[in-house]
Amino acid sequence: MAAQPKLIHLEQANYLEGGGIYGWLTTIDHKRIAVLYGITALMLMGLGGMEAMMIRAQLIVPNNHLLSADFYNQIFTMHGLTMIFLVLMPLETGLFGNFFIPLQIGARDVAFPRLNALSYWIFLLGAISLNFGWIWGGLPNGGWFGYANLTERYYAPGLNIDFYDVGLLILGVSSVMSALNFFVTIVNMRAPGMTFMRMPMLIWALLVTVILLLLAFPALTVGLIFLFADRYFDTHFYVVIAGATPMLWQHLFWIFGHPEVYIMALPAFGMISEVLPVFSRKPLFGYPMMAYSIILIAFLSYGVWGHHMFATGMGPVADSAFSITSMLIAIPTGVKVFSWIATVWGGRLRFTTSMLFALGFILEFTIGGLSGVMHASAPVDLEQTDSYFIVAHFHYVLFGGVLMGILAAFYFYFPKISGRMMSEKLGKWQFWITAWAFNATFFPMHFLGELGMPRRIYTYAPDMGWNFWNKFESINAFILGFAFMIFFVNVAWSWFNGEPAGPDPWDARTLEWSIPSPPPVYNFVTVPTVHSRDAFWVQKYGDVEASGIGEKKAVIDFAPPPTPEEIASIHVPDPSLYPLLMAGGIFLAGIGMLVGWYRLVFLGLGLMIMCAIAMSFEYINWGEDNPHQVGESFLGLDNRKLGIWGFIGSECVFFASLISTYMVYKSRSLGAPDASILNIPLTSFSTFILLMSSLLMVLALAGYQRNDRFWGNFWLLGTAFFGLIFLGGQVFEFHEFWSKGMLYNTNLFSQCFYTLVGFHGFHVFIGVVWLVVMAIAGMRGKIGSSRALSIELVGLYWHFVDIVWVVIFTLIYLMRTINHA
Amino acid sequence: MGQRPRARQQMAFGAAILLMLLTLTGPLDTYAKGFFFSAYIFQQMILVFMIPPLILLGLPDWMVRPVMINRYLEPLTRVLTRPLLAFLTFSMFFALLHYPALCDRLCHAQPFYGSIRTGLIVVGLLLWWPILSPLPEYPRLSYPMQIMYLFLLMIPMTAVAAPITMADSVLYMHYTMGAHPFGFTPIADQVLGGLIMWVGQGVYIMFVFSGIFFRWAQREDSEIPPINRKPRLAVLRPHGRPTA
Repeated sequence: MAAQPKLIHLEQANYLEGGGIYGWLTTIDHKRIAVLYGITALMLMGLGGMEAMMIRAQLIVPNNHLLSADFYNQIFTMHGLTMIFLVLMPLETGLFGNFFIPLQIGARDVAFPRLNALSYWIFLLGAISLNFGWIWGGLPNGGWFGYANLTERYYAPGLNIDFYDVGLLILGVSSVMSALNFFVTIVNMRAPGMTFMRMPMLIWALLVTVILLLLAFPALTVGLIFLFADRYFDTHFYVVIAGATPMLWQHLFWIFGHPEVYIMALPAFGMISEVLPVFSRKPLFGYPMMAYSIILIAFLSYGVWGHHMFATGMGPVADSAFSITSMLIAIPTGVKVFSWIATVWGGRLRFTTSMLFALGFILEFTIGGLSGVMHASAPVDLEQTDSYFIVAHFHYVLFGGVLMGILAAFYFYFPKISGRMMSEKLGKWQFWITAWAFNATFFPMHFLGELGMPRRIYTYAPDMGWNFWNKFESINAFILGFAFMIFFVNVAWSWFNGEPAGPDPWDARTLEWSIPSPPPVYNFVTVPTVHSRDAFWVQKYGDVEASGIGEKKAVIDFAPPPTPEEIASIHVPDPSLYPLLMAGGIFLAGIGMLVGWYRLVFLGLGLMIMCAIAMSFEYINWGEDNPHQVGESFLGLDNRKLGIWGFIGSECVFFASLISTYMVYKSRSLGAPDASILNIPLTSFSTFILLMSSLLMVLALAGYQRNDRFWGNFWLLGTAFFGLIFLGGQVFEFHEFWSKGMLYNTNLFSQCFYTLVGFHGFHVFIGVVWLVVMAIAGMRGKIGSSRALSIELVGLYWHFVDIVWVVIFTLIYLMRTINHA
Repeated sequence: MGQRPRARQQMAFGAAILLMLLTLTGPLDTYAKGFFFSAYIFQQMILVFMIPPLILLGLPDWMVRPVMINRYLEPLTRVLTRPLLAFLTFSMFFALLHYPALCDRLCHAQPFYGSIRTGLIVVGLLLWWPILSPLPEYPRLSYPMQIMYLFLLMIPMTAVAAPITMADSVLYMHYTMGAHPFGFTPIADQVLGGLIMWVGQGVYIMFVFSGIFFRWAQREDSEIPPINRKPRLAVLRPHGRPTA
């Protein structure tokens, strides 16, 4: 477990604000990391937009061969991947989440600042891996969903799909890490008085989003691991001839994929809910209903993935059920739309660019939502699926909805981020051109879909009746591209030359506007105390309902110079180079694996391990209860403990996916080794040992808590020893199986077994290493009762690994012989 | 003896008894025993998700206290009603019960028949305890944690129900034997059963969580259910250890 960053005093931290390039490379300030995310995502947005232009250029006339067919496949795949994973998600959670979560909840930084930096660097290198094909080996070409079994080595021999696989794995690591970080931050670091029911709606949306991320991404990770094994180790997770079913990929992908839609949509909902009240001078209408509908959407999003699979023949009963659940989502979404309208209703509106985009969001998103309800109905969907109608639908949702929400937030928050206003004149030009060109590009796609034009088609014959609309769309798509040129020019120009904004340019409602723009490194001089929703508005006008026009405005001193006592109490984290180096290690290992240059893999892994060790010992207050941090925490829980709990929740989904796959594939496995090969007496023994180790772990923790260092260390080493015995049993077992001819890729049973049990063994191994490190630190006198918490953390992890093993042992070993009666 | 149970409690308890009567006897039980997997799952869902909450809502605290908190049972009940353990116990029991071979052998055979149904109610009581505990000594979870708890319930329920719904062959041989009334084939029956467990249960839980949410939304200042505030025996453990 990474140690907490050392907290340095404010006067030492001054160089954080400057520091040149080195300052940016080593920064762990959430605001700077947010800006890094923002710059990266905007550059990638340019790239993704260029890809869209290429698609439209190819489709502008029939029988066009501007691009080669293979390159066209690569381009539409990369357009989808870029826009989803490298533009929308990083802009929402990376830029706005990073920048505004701590500001809106009244915190000095996120819970784990170094982890935050690590997330960014891993994200950057994941983006590079995904785009590596531009310079060498070819871009991913299987669609953003990469349906098996077309992604098998046999059908896709090049490196294209490998970049897809490894790139998404790396991005998954980054997303889960930042989700964990934000989860802990929002739950644990809210300012005093900021109850859940007083949080700004953006924070609600991001909280639910990160929970979705934590619980959805592991399913995709499992699918990608299977794909990797299929491509590199000749397994048959998706090979039909070996008894497997390609449907496994679709299920795993869409269990992730549908929540992913809401991972993109919910933060945009939150942003709109911040923008509309400010420019209507009214509080958000129906606050509890808004929060409720966000949670309800999250609930439902796990039960609807089947609607992406109506065409796969799940049967009428399952189709009907997924239809019903999908249509149910319209209810909370409708609640939100009506609440936004009611927020604007009767308000004193100011039509700034931000407000225009927010209103555009409501309209366009509703259109996208309505066509969504159409293909929630299975029979209708069977006609529309894989046609341009679907393309129209999700562009209305993701562009007209999410991206317009992001643009609204961009114009709204840019003054806070940069300290300068964006040009309203250019902004309005951008809005009106976008509003025309967006609808002109995507609305006719509904017609084309109904006329039968399939999605992802390379080119088409001239007599299909598709010529006019395609030409029309392509021309408007270029106009849309021009609108984004205006946007980029506006951002670049305003960053240097915009009017100075001042702390509260919009007369806004929430805490982030009560501090200077751009905010100082430490955010708040004194951590604010919150007494109601819209805390800053109430501070200014005394009442949430006040319209703020002609009313007495309290004089707020935005930046009182901190007194010496305050300076002494402000602590901000120290910069660190290791996140960058560690991400570099992961990147080297990933690329080395792809090109089969194994020295590079070892170099990368070595670098990673070195950085992990260096990070653990970077700060001297390693594992100690941190008075400043707890002092600012609302719940009084330790951040690291909450973090481990979040991590365990995510791991549950990971193991549940692996176990379900095993259960499904066990009965489909063909040929010799089956579950009867499992050696129950041996495994019972090692299970017993593992359970006993949990007991020793409890004793070790008790020892440390009463400051009995000798027995604490003794039991800690005992736990590690028992863990090693368990691992030894597993190695022996694997060796036995191997010598009996049960190789990793013999049949479905063997590959599922080795994957599941192997991954569990790997978790045990990590646990043993962690325990040994702890024991060494304990023997050197570095862990006393004040640092017993670090033992508690490893204990939680260890008990979790044990519980997983109990499940595996019961379902896979004890029940091996019980087959169908 | 404590005070007389309130009318709401009496009604809840009566409803629980009535539901038990309707599910464990009569046509539903007949279909569940011998004909339809989906009827069996429907019966289970009522036993786990409807009867236990009604029982917990119906019991006054003075009636529960001597049973849960006495010299012999307290160590056990204190551990088992911890949210994590209650959750895990329920999930394990529920997952094992749907292992096809076990289900075929145990769920309908005579010596186990009654105990499986009783067991479902008992683990159901455990599952609902952290949300509806009648005892301030064993406090309920805070509202956000209750919602999280129900949200996480989705993982085991989906893990059990999805493979049943998506299976392309009949898993539960018990229901292939005998008659298939109404021309309802065993495979369609199995899909319907899986969906009741998955979607039906999910929608039901949504209603429960809506109730919890609005109760929470009424109280902007606090996240703790009022029942936890009654005089408690346990003292809140202060965070961290004293810094000497």
